[in-house]
This record gives sequence, C-alpha cells and structure tokens, in this order.
Amino acid sequence: MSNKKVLSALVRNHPGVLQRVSGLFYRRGYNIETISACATENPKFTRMTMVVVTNDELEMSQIIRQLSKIQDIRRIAILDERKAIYSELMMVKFKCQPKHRTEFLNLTFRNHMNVVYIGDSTAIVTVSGSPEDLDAILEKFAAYPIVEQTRTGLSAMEASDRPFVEMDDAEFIN
Amino acid sequence: MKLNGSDIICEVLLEQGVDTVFGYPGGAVLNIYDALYKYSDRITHILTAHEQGASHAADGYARSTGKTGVVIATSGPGATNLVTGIATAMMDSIPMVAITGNVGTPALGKDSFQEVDITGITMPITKHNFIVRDVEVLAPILRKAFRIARSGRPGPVLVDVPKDVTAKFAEFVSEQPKDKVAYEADDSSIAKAVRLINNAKCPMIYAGGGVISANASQQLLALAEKADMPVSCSLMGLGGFPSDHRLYCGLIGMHGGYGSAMATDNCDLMLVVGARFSDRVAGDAKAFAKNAKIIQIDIDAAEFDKNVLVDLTIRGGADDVLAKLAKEVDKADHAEWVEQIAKWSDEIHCTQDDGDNATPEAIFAQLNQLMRPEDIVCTDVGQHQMWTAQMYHFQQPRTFVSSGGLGTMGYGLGASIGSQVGNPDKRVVLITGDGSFHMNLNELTTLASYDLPIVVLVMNNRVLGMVRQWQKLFYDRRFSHTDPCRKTDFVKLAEAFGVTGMRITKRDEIEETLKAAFAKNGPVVIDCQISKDINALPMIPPGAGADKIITEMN
Repeated sequence: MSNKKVLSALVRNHPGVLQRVSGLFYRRGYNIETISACATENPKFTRMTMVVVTNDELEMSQIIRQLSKIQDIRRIAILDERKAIYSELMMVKFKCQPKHRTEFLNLTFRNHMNVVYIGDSTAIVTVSGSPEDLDAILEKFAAYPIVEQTRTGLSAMEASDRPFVEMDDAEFIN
Repeated sequence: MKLNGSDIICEVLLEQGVDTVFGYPGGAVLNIYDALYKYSDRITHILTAHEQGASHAADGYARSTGKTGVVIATSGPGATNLVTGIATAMMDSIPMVAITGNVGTPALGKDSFQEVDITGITMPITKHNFIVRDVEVLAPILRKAFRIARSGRPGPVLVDVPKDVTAKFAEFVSEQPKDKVAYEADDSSIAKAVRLINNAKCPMIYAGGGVISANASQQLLALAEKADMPVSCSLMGLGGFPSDHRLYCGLIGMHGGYGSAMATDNCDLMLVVGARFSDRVAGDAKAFAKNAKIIQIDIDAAEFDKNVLVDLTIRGGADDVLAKLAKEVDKADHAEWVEQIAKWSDEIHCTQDDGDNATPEAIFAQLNQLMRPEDIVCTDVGQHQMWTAQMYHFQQPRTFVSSGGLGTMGYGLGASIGSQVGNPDKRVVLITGDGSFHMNLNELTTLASYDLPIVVLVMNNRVLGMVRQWQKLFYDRRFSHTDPCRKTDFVKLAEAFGVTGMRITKRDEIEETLKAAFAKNGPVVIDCQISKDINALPMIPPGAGADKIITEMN
C-alpha cells in the first residue's frame, strides 16, 4: 500500500454527509480508491474509511486539512499502517462446471472462504481480508473464470486499547 | 412561548443582532414574509429586483459593515438565483446566511412545483448548509448557521426551510449568541516569527482579505511601522493599509505595481497575512518571493502549503497574531530598502492619455479629491475594477467592496445597495463597466424605490474591455464577441428607472459632473464615455514574473 493512505473519519450521521466528502474529493481532483461508510456503536455517528491514492505528502496533508473543514466531520486521521487492521469483504461468482466442483470446494476451504450459493455452473463465495490477501486469493482461482465480483471497500481500525475518538455529542443537532 | 417557524426565524434573526435583510418573496416563503410584516418595526427588509441582486446586496452589506449579511429567497428559481451570490461570498470568505423556502416536506423529492434540491446544489459553494425538516430544530440550526458563518474563516451558510416547517409551532426560548471562539496562536511560532523579522534586512508584508475580515488594520499598521516593513495589499486586502503611507507599495499581483513586484522578487522576508497566494498574485507559484523566507499567518490551516510552500506558518486570527508580533518585534529602520521600492515604483508609469477626452485616470484623480476616507467604493469585474484598485486612494478597511476570487460580473450594483443600506451616512460610489452593468442593471429600480444616493460611474468603452485586452495580448487581436455593438443610452436608461442620468465625455466635464451628482443626494448614473483602447496596465501575464511586466499596449 505504498502510494495509498487509509483515512478514517468519524462523521455526524446526517443524510448527505457522504456527498459532502465525495464531492470534496471530486472537485479538488483528489484520487480516491474506495470509500465506505457504515453505522457505529453510536447511532449519531458514521464511520468512514477512505483509501486515497497519492505519493505526495503535501497533497495528503491538504486532503486532511480540507476534509477537516467539513462541518460534519468530527475527527479524521491517517491510520498508521503498522498499527492498523484492515479488512474488506469480497463476494465472487465463479464459473465452475460440476465436474470441477470438488476441486473448487477444496480450494475455497483451504482459503477460509464461505460458499454461499452453488448453481448449475456457478458458485458464489465470500471472503474477507486485507486487499492484498484478497488479490492473492483471486490469483489462486485463475482457473475459474469470474462471472461477477464485488468488494465492499476497506474497513479499518487502529490496533490499540484507546478508541479512535470519544463520541461526544454535546454539539449535536439535527 | 409557542411560535410558528416563521416567527422563530424572525426571533433568531433579532437574537443574532440582525436588523436588515435582503430578499424577494414567493410561494414557499409566504409565511416568512407574513412574519416579516409583523416584525417590520424591528427588521428592515430590502426588496430587490432579482434574487441575485439580493444575494450581492447581503454580501456588500457584510463586507462594508462587518456584520453577517442575510438574504431570503423562495424555493426553486428563487433559490437558484442566489447561487452566484453565494459562490461570490464563499470565494471571498464573506459571512452570509441565506434562508430559502422549499416545498412542504411531504412534497419534497416529488419534482413538485418550484422544487429544487438547493442544499445539493450549494454544497460546494457554502461553508455548510442545512435543510430543516422539523420545526423543533429550526432555532438551533439557525443559530448554528450564524455561528458557522462568522467563526474561523467566515463564509456563507444556507438554511433551506420547507413551507410546512415555517407554519408549524414549536416552543421557543431566546438565547444569547455565543462568543466567537478565539484561536490563540502558539507562542513558539510567534517567537520564531519575531526572530525572522528582527533578522531581516529587506522584509515586506503581503496583506490580504484576512486583515479586513479580522478587523486587524490597526495591528497591521502598528507592526509595519515598528518593524519598518513595506506593505503590499492583494485586491481583497485593499483598504487594510492606508495608501498614502510611506510604507505602502501598492497592489500586488497581475495588475499590481512594479514596486510591489520587485519588492516581492527581492525581499529576504515576506510576512503573509490572511492571503492565499492566488494565481492572480503568485502567477508563478514556484518563483514567488524566491529569495525570501516566508511566514504565513492564516486562520484556516488548509491555506498553508496549498499554493506556495512557506517556511513558517502561524495559525490564528490576523488581529491577535499581528498584535503579538507588533509587541514583540524590535523597532527597526529599513529606510534604504523602503527607498529602493519607491524608486522601483517610480520607474514605471502607465499613463494613457486621450487628448481632451475623459480617461479613467482623470476620473479617479477627481474622485480621490471628492471622496472622504470613510466613503465606500464598490466595483464590478473587469478593467474598471483594476483601474479602481490601482488608482483609487483607499484609506480605511471595509471601504472597497469588490468580487475578488470569483470575479463576478454583475456583482457591483447589488453590492452597492447593501453597502449603502448598511452605511446610510457614508457616500457609496459604484465603479462599473458597460459589460458588467448590463448584466444586472435591473437593480437600478431598487435604487429608485429606496432613494439610495448611490452614484454609479459606468466606464463605458462599448466593449468587453478586459477580455478584449487579453485578445489583444494573447489572441493576435481576434476580437471574438467582445464588441457587442450595443446602442444603450445610459442616461435615458437611468431616467426610465426614475434615476438621474448624467454623462461625461470630455476631461473638463469630470469635476463639475461628479460634484453635481454628489449634490443630488439621490441615485445617479453617470455614463463616462472612454476610449476602448485604454487598457488595465501594468500587467504581468499569467504564470510570469516581474521581468515580464507589460507597461504599454496597442
């Protein structure tokens, strides 16, 4: 992930907040690879994880500073690669003829994947892991053509005892 | 006490110290206008000809008074007509609250009559915006809107209120506005800055709009005088430093003076205050002040290292930081350096004579005689704007009202309305061009309705002068669509609106005409007929440095 940085942001759970964030990336021409938003333990807040592609430290600090100006963003930080856990969920529909099914299922088992659907000539599997892990798994399945694939984008958390931010909702309205 | 949404809006406006709003009624804001009728003894509403005019008026009111401008418009086209005005305020960091009506909440998202997603539309051009779906949160949202508009780096905030919310009732308890959050600059960066300033041999200050918005002119003057640092102002900074001061070296940037440009190239320390190195100032960002250590003071951290890399940043309000610096720096004497800059300034003159005919230079010479230091000059955008910046002698902050960042042609007339309404005791002059004036001259009707004694000087060269100047310089004189062959008679036009019309064609008519216009004490339009071949000079071409300065054309 050399030219990529993972940003984690805690934002107010308003409609439109994803648009504010993605709009800023769009109009300032920053390169974003994935963005995911989801509920947190506190319904008033949403956690966003963004993978930003840049080699330029200055651009990176501009991105953080510009994002910090969005009123709905309560806290934003670049996750320290050495101290963070990254994961995303991948779902793939592979072409798999019945005669290869056993071999296919063995491969999914060895890679800790869940087989969630088996059709006449396809199978859907899910697996989670770091983006690199998932890319490596796909290579192992080179013999099985991909019919469809979807990934959730990265979710990340700092591997430490303290929370990323105390959720203080004193300022919260709307 | 239980109040409906519209009364709550008026109560919060009063709570926030708002006594003047600009706007235009319509279906979705009927309830709000009904409340304004009731509150008309405490809230003055200025009705414009078009919502765009109202948005520029609120902006001009804010720039000239330092208060937050408020504009009200109806849903759909009323709201979209505010867009240019909001974007103008955003680019120049002007505190403004725009209140728009919308269709009732059950009709939202159904493509109802006069429905538009104005929060979606204005997301990139507001500091923040809200749609209020519940009357219970209306008051807190409006208070927050004012707080966001004023705090830190100011800017416009839009609050969209569906019609049913303006009619529903909620409990209202008045609250006093919270004090501004002060940004305390940290002592260690102040100490570093003081060392750099004390060690500099050829220091200068590049002052921008942040000096005006933080009301820091006195602190700027104190620091400049104590450390004997010459000062250049960006367009947005004009008025932040007295132009007749020995340390003033003029406008900086594309249409700035040779003195400013050479000082920038040769200084060994540049203190940047509330300015953002826009491409109109730092044409060549890599070579800008290349021999200098740069200290940048700004309240917005996102301005640091955005366009030009600097050596030291100080986050804080210009008033606070400059006061601290002025207190800490050594008294210095840079007489030789100041003299050198004055010599550079004198090296280049761009006088453009036209025989007996009136010229911008002759008009500004008279205007400088007749205007008092506290009087206000508004402009539109183009050559006349640059002439104003170059030739008018600004003495005080908040006396120059002009669209800098967005460069909004058609801004000036609305802005002059807001300036005059906010400053009834000051003289307000609008300098405009025939191109800009044609865009929004509908607001002449507002001057007549409220008998606003604004004097409008139309620098009428019958062409779209600034674009034409670029066509001369960079497009081999192919004058594509910059000579519109218009037949407008501005004197008759003014009269048709119920405004006095006058005309200046010859140099010797300038003084008496201006005096007669000011004596009218009512709205006047003066058609100032000038040659289309007078340019905005000097000019440094985009992306170039002081060595490429253009001093004559044609």
